[in-house]
Amino acid sequence: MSRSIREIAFSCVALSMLMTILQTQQLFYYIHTVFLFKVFVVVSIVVILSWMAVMIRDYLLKRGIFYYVVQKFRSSSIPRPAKYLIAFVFVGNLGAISLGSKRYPFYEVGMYRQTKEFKDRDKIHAEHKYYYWQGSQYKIVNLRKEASFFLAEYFGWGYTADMAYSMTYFHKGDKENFDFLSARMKELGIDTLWVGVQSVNFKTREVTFDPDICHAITINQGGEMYYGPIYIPRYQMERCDGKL
Amino acid sequence: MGLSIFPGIKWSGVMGNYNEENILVRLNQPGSVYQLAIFRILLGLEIVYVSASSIFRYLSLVPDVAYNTNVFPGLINQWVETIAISYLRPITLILAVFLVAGVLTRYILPLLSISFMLLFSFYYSRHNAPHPWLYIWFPLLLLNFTRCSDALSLDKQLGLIKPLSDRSSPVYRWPMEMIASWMVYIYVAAGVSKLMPVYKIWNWMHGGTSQDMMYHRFLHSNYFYLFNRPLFDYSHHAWLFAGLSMVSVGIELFCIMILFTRRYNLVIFCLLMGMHFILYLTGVLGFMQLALVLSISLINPLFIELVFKKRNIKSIPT
Repeated sequence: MSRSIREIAFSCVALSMLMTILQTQQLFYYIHTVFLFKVFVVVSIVVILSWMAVMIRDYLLKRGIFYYVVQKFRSSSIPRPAKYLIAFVFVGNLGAISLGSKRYPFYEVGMYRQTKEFKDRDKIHAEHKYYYWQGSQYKIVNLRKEASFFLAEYFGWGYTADMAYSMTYFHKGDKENFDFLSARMKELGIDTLWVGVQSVNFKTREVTFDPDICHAITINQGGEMYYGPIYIPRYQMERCDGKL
Repeated sequence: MGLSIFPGIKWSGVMGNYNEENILVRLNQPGSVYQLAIFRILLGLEIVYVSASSIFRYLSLVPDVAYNTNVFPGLINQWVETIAISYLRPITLILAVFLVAGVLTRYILPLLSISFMLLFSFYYSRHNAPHPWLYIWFPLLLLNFTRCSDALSLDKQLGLIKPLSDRSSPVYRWPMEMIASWMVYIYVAAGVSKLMPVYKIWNWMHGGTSQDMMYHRFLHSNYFYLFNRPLFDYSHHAWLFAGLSMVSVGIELFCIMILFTRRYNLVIFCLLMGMHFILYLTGVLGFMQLALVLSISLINPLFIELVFKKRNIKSIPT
């Protein structure tokens, strides 16, 4: 195994240990309560300090990957101000990754860093969706579909994927979200939006839609919905008064 | 064997040559004036797209739920939120159009960089999700130090700049290599964040996160919009989701190879596109567009030079 590969492997191990220590919330609580974790921290500190010592020694002896990278970068044809910018951004992002935190514009790219368990889920999953009546037919407004250039029906240019995501999940319980959607639908001649329930049965692979407005309210109030309950307009609530 | 649309071009050389060269060596190698120009145009179009979004109007209406922080002083944040936001969006949009056209690029770029950073600091403060625009700012800042309008620009057409006589100068190479390393940062950091702290590795590899996402987001996914029914029972087959999770992290971490060799660039590009396409179908907010823009840096500059050389030869009247 070449020296470079050994160095990289050692760095990966040391950095993983460093990140684990830096990213553990309630670090001292776990050190005091979990013996194995205490052992891990002690071993990690020894490994990290050894790694730092080796890196510094190699740099002073003008050898090793760290020295090679610094020298190659310094002697490259990149203009000096750009070199400073790159070094600054590198340090900023390395800090964000190591700490597992973000501070715009430095980012740890923590997509799905919060892991979830999946067990004992129902075969049937339900979601609320806005819909309207066109004659005797109901038409469902699929908000995330609108961000797709080829599939969009109601929103045009400017309705980006992040916006569709916000409207579907982050702000689905906000009146302002409904007002924004409602205003757009009114522009298209659709006056009244209702909330119904769409369900998928994963066992039979069938999808159904229940336009019963009162049932939608019941589910909204009782069920544990993904990203919380949806905003149901006042007129729908009033229509169901006494029926629930 | 099918006919090539570019006869004479060795396709294995499109994204990788077989010389083992790390990124630090590649910084000083010949580049392509057209590669940098294409990147400038595509990045400009991406900025036009993100700043034309109605989300700025939307975010000013809905309650602030993100509470994200940024590096700017509170005074600047307050100024952006209360006064500047209504001007920043049109300014960014117009400057981005100028960048695409390559007009007065040298003066446009610093202004665009500032307006973009401030505009999206407002956005970021109110929107907590990893979005494509989070990864635009560095390539944009980097362009400030490059000769990105030496080709395919109005600056050149109008004689406002004097391009280098050597179209393959390393001056055009280092920015692309830095953008390739930016791509490495995005994907490798995404992989690392799933696995750190180390005791989380088991949780991620178990596949629960992927399964939870596919299960809950099915009714809001493009797969549903296209096919109306799930592909299989998402509440079951945990092993499959565990496999998908491992593959996705593997792909993200594999991107580090870009730093060491160009040999796997084409493989990495295909894997990333495949991953983003699956994410797109399953209702996950990915950033395929930006990945495509950044992937320009994975293309061998010799290939781009060859394409433009052939085009220029064809355009000479006989």
